Amino acid sequence: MRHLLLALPLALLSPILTAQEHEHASLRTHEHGVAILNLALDGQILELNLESPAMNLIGFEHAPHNEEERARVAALRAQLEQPLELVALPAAAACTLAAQELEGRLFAEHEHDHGHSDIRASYRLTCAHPERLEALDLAAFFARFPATHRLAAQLIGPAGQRGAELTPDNPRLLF
Amino acid sequence: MYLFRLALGSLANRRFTALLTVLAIALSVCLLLAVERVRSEARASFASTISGTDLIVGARSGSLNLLLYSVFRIGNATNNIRWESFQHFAEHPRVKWAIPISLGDSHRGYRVMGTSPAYFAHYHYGRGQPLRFSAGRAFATDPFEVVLGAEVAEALGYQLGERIVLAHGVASVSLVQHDDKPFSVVGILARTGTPVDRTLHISLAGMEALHVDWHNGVPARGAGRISAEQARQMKLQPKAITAFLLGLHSKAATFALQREINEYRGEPLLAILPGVALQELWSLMGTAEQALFVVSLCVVLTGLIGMLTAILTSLNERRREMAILRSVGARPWHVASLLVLEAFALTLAGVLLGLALLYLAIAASQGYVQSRYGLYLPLALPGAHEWALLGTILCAALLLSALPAWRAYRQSLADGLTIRL
Repeated sequence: MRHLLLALPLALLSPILTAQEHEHASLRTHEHGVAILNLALDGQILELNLESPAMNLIGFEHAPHNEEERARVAALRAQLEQPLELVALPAAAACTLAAQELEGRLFAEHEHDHGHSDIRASYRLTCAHPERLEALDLAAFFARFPATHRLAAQLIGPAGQRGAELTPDNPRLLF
Repeated sequence: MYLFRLALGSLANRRFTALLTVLAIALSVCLLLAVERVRSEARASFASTISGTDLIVGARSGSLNLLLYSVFRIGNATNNIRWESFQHFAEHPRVKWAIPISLGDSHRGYRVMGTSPAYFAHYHYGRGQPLRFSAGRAFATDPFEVVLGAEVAEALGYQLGERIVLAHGVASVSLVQHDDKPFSVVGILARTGTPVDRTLHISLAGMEALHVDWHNGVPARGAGRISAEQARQMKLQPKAITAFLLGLHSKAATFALQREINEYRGEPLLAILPGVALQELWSLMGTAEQALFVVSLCVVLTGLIGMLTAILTSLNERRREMAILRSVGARPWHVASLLVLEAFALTLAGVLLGLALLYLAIAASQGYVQSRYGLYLPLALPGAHEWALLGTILCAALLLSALPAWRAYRQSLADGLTIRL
């Protein structure tokens, strides 16, 4: 019994501790209109990673309240599940989608609803001819998501690391 | 073709002016190409200050700030990071190697950097070149050993075995010297053309030993002092470092690890991709680079205008030449195209001579520039961009030559054969 009594405050404390830990997790910047695109090519594997405020992609950041909003979230999900339609890769490179993952509070079924929300889409592509990857074109992405004005791209390719800024007027990223 | 022969013949008649014009164009072309080549090579060499490092990690601040103090030894860190954080990520399964960096002391204006032997094995610059020793070896277990960068050794005239005293802080005139714990030079690195040349490298244990008896920012006095001999016996484990460099097993994991470091709960850390930060930094300095390019373009334009002047002034004295050509049956457009061809021939000769001058200059200065500034100027054929520039110059010359051609055309119509002598 005494042991139990001793353990009680600890048990009560533990959720508080974890909550505090959460508060200390870093607050990432969140700028509407700007998204981050990370690309890494290693051998035949092309990792593609998009991080964007939900506002850029869908126009709201809260969980869908009504049927119309739910339909828009579903449409967005369908769109993001077809990355090769948003990001044009050279056909000669013969890249196919091997794996993908979508993250975002928007996609969760039930969630408490406050603050900003980001959407993260990660893709893994396998390219039969990675040496033919000369450039990729995000014109379709900018056309589909006009609220995105700027993509800050980080690229790791055979020539090393590079940064680039893509805009609707300059949607091509050279490898 | 016979028109071109005529144009060359006419030029040969005025070879002195023609030669000067060609020379002016050649010099301007050479300057433009040299600026272009140095510009692109400077960019490449800047980008290759650090190579093979996948991530640089420091206290959370800005990416440029972190890059500047960890790689270029400019400015200071806002905060140090815990040794535990370094160990946590050095032992991470995705990490192949980790180099700790500890900054803060100096020697006669040159920065002192505390690091581990991994630095000499894994730090790469240029196109993946490792650090090489021009003399001696890396520091070993004795904490009071120092390895000099090439420029430090050359500028201060240090040899192997020399004993030097480091200063606390980074001001070039420092009041507090670590004179109780001198270091001996055990190695000198070969020149790299990077900030490594301007750095003194000591072990982390050495860095710790320097400050082991310091309290509240001042060295202890009297009995509190710990001598170099005593320090050697102590366990010299740093509690904090300034930054660390990471190399990964797979480049594709870079972003995932970057994210993990940036979200590390232990303390606020910032991980940056050196290649991306370097590019960001270069784009800040891009304005000066653009200015240089514009100036050299203006020099080319001056050369071309000089040619235009020479042709225009020659028009008057060549009225007879034109008249004779007309008398033997040349049409006005023959006369006009003669002038266009002349300008083309002059510019082409200028461009070719300019290229020859450029390669001569590169061949002559290559070694010096490489050793002095770490800039490698290749004796390569002009690239697509350079060909485009040369083509533009030729087109501009043709365009400019339309002016004297048009005047000659009008004159030969009006003057005909009724020239007054």
